[in-house]
Amino acid sequence: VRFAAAWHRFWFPPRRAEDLAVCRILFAAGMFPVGLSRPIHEWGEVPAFLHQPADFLRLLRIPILDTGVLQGMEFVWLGAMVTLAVGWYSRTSAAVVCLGSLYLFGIDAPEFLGRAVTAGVFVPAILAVSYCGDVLSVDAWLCRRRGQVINRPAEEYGWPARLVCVFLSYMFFAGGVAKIRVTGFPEWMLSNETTRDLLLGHYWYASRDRALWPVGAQLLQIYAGAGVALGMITQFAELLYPLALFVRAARLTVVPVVLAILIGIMVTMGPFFHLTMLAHVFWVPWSSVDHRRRR
Amino acid sequence: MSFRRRRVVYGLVAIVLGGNLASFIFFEQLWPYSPYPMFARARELTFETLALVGEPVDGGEIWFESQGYLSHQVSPMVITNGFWNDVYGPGMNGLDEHLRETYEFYERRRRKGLSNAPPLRRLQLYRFNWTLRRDLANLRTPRRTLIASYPSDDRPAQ
Repeated sequence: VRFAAAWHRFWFPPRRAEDLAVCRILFAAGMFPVGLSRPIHEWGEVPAFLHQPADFLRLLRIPILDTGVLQGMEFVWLGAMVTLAVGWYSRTSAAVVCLGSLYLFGIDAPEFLGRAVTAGVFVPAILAVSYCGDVLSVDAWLCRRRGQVINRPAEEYGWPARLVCVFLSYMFFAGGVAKIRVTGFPEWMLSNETTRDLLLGHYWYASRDRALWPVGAQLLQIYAGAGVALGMITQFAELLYPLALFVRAARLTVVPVVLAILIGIMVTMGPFFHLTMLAHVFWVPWSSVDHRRRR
Repeated sequence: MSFRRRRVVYGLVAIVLGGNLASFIFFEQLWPYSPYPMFARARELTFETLALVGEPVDGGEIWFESQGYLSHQVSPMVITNGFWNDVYGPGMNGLDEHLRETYEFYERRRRKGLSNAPPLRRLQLYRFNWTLRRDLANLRTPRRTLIASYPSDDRPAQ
């Protein structure tokens, strides 16, 4: 009985509707420029031998459609991000964003370039099941005009953020464990891998994008052991990330360190984990922040 | 919260986390599930890649990076992956055909005004190999191995 109660408390913490609404607004509004910056419809004209869609699309024989059709899908997908941000047909919009991401990111070489955008599928899926449009939304305004009162238990607004945070915890923990499985512990962090990735940003592409500001070589010239030091910080931060679900001190230290690592990777190496970074808005109890600010 | 509603939420938890857990256990990537193995290998301070190099009609050479000559989605990593099976598969099957297709695609986009690419005399596929150095002295001078060229003789491609 005690375990069941603890399990319930973990998954359904009471939160204010405003917390979830702010997360919805920030995530959808932040995802919009990401979608806009990727002309995925161009895959429709690229020679077929360069196509690298997700395996599940190949298995289900779902084709890469013509450029015009893809452009139409992109338009609907981006439009749904806007309606999700303003909270108009919030749950339907979230479902459209989720399905759009699944297909459009799914044709965009996701098996080797898509790890940065998995949050673009899972977070909208979570929002689609949640009541994310109950406040700070057009939906709420329309309800008020019709004289309807929304009255839901506070747990309804707690589980979506909890599930996003558990998903993020899995992501980083799995990343830390993968390094142990493939290379070993502490072999990976003591190896040249981080040094290599810091230098590679100057030379060529380690991902879709080139390093934003390749400073790895300068860093290594100042201190040759910078690669190993950063490797150690990275792997420990990844492995300790799930602690943030249970321990406040970890939430205040490990999560910001991981965010700093993601920014560092973008600047010095190239891979840009924009949607993963954006999903971190779900860690923040926005109404408490606002309450503290007003005091 | 009602029991039915809780069941819906746990169903979603199973979809989001269950698929990822399976991906983690089997160490297999199946979009959008992943064990997130990026940067997990410990590699030497070397780097090898396939690279497209164009010889413009006006002379010089251009490396196909992310200028958008082959659309913005075809990044150097996509090029490497696309040609990988051709180059490392048995008998380099399809390599010449794919290089010709790439050249024609490049020209089609250029003529439509979709890219500001220069007209090419020849398109070549190279293997670039670098020893990564902290002083970056060899940035634009990788060891290069010519793998294939279109057209393969001295005739202009047009």
